[in-house]
Amino acid sequence: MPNDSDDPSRTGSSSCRADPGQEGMGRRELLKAGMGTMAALATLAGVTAPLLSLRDGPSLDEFLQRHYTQLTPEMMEKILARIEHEIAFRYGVKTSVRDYKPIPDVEFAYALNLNRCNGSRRCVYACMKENNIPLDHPEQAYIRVVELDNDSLDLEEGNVLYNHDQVPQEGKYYIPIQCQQCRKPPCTKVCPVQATWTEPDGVTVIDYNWCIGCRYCMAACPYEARRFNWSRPKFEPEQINPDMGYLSNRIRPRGVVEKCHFCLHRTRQGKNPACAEACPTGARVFGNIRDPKGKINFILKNKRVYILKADAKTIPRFYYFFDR
Amino acid sequence: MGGLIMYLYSFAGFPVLVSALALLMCSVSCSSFQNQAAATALYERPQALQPYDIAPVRGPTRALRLHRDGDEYPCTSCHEGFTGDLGQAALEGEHNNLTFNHGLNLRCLNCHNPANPDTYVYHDGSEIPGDTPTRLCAKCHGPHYHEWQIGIHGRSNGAWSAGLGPQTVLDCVQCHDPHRPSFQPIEPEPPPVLTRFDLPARQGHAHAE
Amino acid sequence: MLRDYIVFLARAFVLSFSGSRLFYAWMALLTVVAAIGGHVFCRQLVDGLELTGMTDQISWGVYIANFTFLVGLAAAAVMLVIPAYIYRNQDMHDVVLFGELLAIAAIIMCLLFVTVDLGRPDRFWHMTPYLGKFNFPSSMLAWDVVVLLGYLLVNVHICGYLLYMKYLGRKATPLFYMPFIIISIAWAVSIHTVTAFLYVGLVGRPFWNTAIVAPRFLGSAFTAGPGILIIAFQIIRYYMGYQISDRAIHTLRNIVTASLLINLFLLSCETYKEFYAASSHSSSARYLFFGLEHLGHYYGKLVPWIWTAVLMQLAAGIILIIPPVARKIVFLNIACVLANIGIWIEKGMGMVVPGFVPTPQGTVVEYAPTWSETLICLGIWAFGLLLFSWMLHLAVPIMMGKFSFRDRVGVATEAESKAYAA
Repeated sequence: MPNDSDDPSRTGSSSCRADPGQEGMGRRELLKAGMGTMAALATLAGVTAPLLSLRDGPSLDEFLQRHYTQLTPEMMEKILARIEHEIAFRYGVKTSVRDYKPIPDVEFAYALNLNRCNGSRRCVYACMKENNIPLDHPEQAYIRVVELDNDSLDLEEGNVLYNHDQVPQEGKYYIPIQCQQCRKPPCTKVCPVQATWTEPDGVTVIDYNWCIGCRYCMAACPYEARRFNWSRPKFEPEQINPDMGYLSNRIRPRGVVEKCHFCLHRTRQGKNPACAEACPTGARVFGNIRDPKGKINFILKNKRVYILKADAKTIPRFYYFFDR
Repeated sequence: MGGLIMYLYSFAGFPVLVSALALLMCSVSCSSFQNQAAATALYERPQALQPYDIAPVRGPTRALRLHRDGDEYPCTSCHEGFTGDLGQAALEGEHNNLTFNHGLNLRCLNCHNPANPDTYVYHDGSEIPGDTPTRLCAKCHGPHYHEWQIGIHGRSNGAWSAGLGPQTVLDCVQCHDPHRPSFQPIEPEPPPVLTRFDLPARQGHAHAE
Repeated sequence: MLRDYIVFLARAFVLSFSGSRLFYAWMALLTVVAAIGGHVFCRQLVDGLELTGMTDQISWGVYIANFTFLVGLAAAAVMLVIPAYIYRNQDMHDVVLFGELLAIAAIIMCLLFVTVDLGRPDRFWHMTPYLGKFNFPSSMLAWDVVVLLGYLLVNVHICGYLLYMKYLGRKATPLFYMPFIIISIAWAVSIHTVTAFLYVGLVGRPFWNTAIVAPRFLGSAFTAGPGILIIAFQIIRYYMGYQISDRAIHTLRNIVTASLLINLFLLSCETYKEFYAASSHSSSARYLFFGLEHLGHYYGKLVPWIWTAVLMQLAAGIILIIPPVARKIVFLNIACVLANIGIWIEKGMGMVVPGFVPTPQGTVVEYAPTWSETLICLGIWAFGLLLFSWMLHLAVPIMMGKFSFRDRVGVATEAESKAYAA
């Protein structure tokens, strides 16, 4: 480098040489510039080469699609048709994708009886089948069941990987955890693009066509309820549940966040969510918290109700209760 | 002036770069997507297919029946009627495969009607038909019966509220064996894996199907 | 006037491609590494973030860790700006521009790290106000984008304006840059505070949900940034012939010393709170420093790293507080390198990853970056260095008066340029 210490003067003179005021570029400079350009183009080609095998990128319509709240019914019709078409193309399945709207005067809430739950994980697998979560990706399930000792409420002492021949085990109890549908959700607050919000019926949803995949909501959630699509889900046609909702169980694209949505495509049609349907012990109670004579309000008034991580003041719509 | 142009350029440059990349992705995937409209036959799932098991743990409500050699027959085929005090020791013959564990309620005739063995009996000796065991259980389990009526004990399938569609409410005996009513342990579904790196396929094992 | 500017850009372009062999080798090396990173990033676009080591449990990894560190580097320019412009320290005045150029490169690297971390970079435009749905002021990430772009804008303006004026041989008008200098001081503090609040504002992550994160970030930033600049100044002085006084380096040394001690103090405050009053909220800190036992397994991948980081910072601190040693440039350089590596570990992976361990549901999952992630990170670092080297390559001749309007116009039109200057 010693010959570089006087380098700036050389750069100065070389820039002078290439000046438009001087005679035009020499043949050598031209050759060098040409080679440089070629090298740059080759590098660019090498860098972008993998993009040629991109198969699930967005179509132009999807790329330009507006936020859910800005869509007119006509636009939504087109989008739903496009999504059905995409699923038909990619998975070979005829589906019906609808945009179910909230029922007026209904606010969903869930109550789960911790005395009854026996940790059978039926809810976990029913949820996966209902909500089009690939069965070979059990890490993606929305519900996790934590096994705890009877004398502890500390989740850190719990075990989600318990693998017994029979449940419940003596001296243990079980807490299934899914999205708690908070009244003050930390996740919607942090989303930089409002891709997740709480619907009038109390369910926090995600527009899978708007989420940018920054995963800030996952860091914000105190319940570990959110999952990310690290890769594109793969299905056999017969594994796909064809009754799909736009905000709920339609097949998610890669690179977006998803979570429990209280089976909106079912519950907004009056049906129970899949987890409640499949629970063998009847520990799961689903209903409308605005109905003063409803099941949920009976539990809230008459049972000992426990809220997960009440200290986080997220005020969930998911209640755990004890009979005794 | 120079600064203005430079910073306008540099401010716009980044979004422009990202958008250009996105458009490139679009155009690449668009071509592959739109050239092949789905012309092949599509799989259509049968309407009736129930994707997950919602059968109750003990099968449908049964009228009071016994089984032998695959046949079912009414109690009255053996019993004309019960007489005297049938204590706990009476579990023999057809009944010796019963496990009897119902707390303090260990006398057959607390529930079974001595006058008509195909039916149950109420406190006052009146008859409870054999196909409505729920009323029998309500004799003692008042609070649970009340909660069952409200819909917070036991499972109901179908609509989450009665006004919204058909509901199937399970009876007591679809979950509880009347002779040993505590809910029996069942086999759990397999445990989850925590991350995609724990998947069997990633661990180098063949997928166990 | 516009014509002059276009000519300036054209000449700057030509100058960008003229230099010594060493310059070419250095730039070529960086280009190759950056291109490899770009290639792997394109693969990540095709295959998804599956290529990374991140999971649902540890949803941020080495990308966001580097992002956090680099926001600090960008913010650190303020440590040159304040003495140079507020206290009118002449030594700093000569070098303050390098700090601002480093800030520009660091911010661009930050934006790149955020971009590669996105699951859907094609939807970046959703963040554009009016066109998309920008969740401002609710989301701290939205704030972060605003402050980072704003800081980039301010610094590009200041550097661009001052350099172009120097090129023209005219005196810069304070009205056109002093207000931005003042803004940039407040803004520098704000970018790192907002980045800290990004973590602090999460109620479910007790490791981050502590008021001391922002001060810690500033302390570590004002150690790391000036530390890197001390080394950069020596390189500029040696290879590019620009005279930087030892006094400037020693002023920076004082800043590094004070900041490092403050950072170590704050770190010890945090560890005291975590371990003396150990609650269930201390599990993350226990994982970081000692590892966690969960369901019969021991998890402690970060333990050697964090102790390395602490020891490196302690060693740097000891070197720096012994003046006779710290005045020796070799030891000063060692201290700066040690402090930077230590801080890169501590506020990068050492900050981001433990926040996710144990998970809110009480499980323990560990994280390690994959090759793809590592190569993309290296690519971005190489790109940032490329950018910084390129900017220095243009800025240094301008500041030395070797690349100016005058030498283009030549002797014949000297009168004309005097007219310009007047």
